[in-house]
Amino acid sequence: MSLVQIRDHGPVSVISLSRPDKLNALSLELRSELLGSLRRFNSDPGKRVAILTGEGKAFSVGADLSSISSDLTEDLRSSFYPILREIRFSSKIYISAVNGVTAGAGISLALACDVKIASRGSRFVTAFHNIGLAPDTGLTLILARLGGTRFLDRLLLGGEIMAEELEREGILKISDDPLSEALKLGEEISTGPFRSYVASKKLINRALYHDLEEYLEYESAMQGYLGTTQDFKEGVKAFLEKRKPSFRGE
Amino acid sequence: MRTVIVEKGDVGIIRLNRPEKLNAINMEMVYDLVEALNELKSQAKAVIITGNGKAFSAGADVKEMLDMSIEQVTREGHMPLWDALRGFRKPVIAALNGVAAGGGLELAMACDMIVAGESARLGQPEINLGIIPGAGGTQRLTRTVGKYRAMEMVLTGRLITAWEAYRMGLVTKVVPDEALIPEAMRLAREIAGKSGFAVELGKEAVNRALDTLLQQGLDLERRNFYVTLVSQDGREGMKAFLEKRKPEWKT
Repeated sequence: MSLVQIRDHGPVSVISLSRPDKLNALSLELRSELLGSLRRFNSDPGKRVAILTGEGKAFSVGADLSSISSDLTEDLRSSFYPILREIRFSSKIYISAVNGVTAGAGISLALACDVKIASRGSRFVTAFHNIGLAPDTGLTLILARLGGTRFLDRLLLGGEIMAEELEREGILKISDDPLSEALKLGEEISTGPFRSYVASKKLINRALYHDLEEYLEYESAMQGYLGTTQDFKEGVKAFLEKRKPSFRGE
Repeated sequence: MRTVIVEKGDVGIIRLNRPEKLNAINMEMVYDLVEALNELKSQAKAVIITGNGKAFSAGADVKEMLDMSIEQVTREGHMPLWDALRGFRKPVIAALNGVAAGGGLELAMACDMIVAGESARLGQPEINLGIIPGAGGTQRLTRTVGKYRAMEMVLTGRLITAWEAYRMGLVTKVVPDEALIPEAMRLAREIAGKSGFAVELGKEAVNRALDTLLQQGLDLERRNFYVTLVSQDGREGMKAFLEKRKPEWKT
């Protein structure tokens, strides 16, 4: 059973995270399948627009805590970052169609897309702090650049961001049916002056994300350290035991 | 050895261990470092040098230097350390856990790569003592960061931050302090996973770029390249590449 489903609509592909029973938690298997799918899509000259979405009640709740690696630095560098790069530095246009809940690294992937469309009332939960970690997969850089100071509180201390707040900052569009709207937009983009869109994406990357690689090296070193702390162990344990963690700040 | 702690292994670690003196380099430490490098020479595939405590190294031990005669300093001084590092064929990574000043920065620059924790400060403050750097602080520094930045550092004695050093190309990576040793280990292990012989010849060739004219450097590089081509690991590596499998290194 494939964890990533691809549906082709001519030059547009819908790439769906397909682990709905786990709210599309990004297990290692799902991540490698997703990376493979993104690479195939990006190297297909017949393709122009990818719509990234999640099946079921969530876009994705981020890393899968039941199979989290002991070396977070390595995990980020060899698995999460390559996915982020395939989306952000691709010569295709990416649209995220977000339903329900998105958490952790799932937020980064949703926001890394060129156009973001979310359902009304959908929630973005920066869950990292609940397990003693800091935001990763570029989230702090991406959200601070897109939203200025508006979301620094959530980046600093964790918490929820409602889709409506992101819409007010112009970061995403709200729709009653994100996927249909994404398909419509994808169709328009793929029949428009596509090279000019891709060129514009590259200019946006130079303007906003030219230092992303350097940032990610630092971020992954940081997260690797946090992954060795007592609070991280307690946080993951508490999550799996469905209880409140008791942190000690060490 | 009292002034350094050595951890042996595939990746050897040398910790400067005079934390109460900010790891100032005295004659005892010079000889301990030489001994440590000798011990690691045969078994380690890469070496990390770092400091215990707050500093990497605040430089030469000023009190000891002041008490030494000019004859002693000239005839011996810290040269055994610089000679040992120059003759060391395996790659050496300096992991700056704090201040690297004067002889401390010179020690780091005598290594092959420098990574830093973000609270590290780097500089050549000798000018504040009415003296100047004497082990690479005007030469290696200038070749790395250029005349004007080196001039500013040497003549003002100011310390720069890890991130400034990164922008100058003096430090290749800056990480949160807590992540310094894991990051240095990651880099060292990555290198330790290569052919040891090829790593040694690559190191030798890169170092030559700094003390030869281009043509001489290119000649040395080409000869080293020929040697790797016919070496056991070179043959294995090229075969593995064509057979799309992982190589098995012998060195």
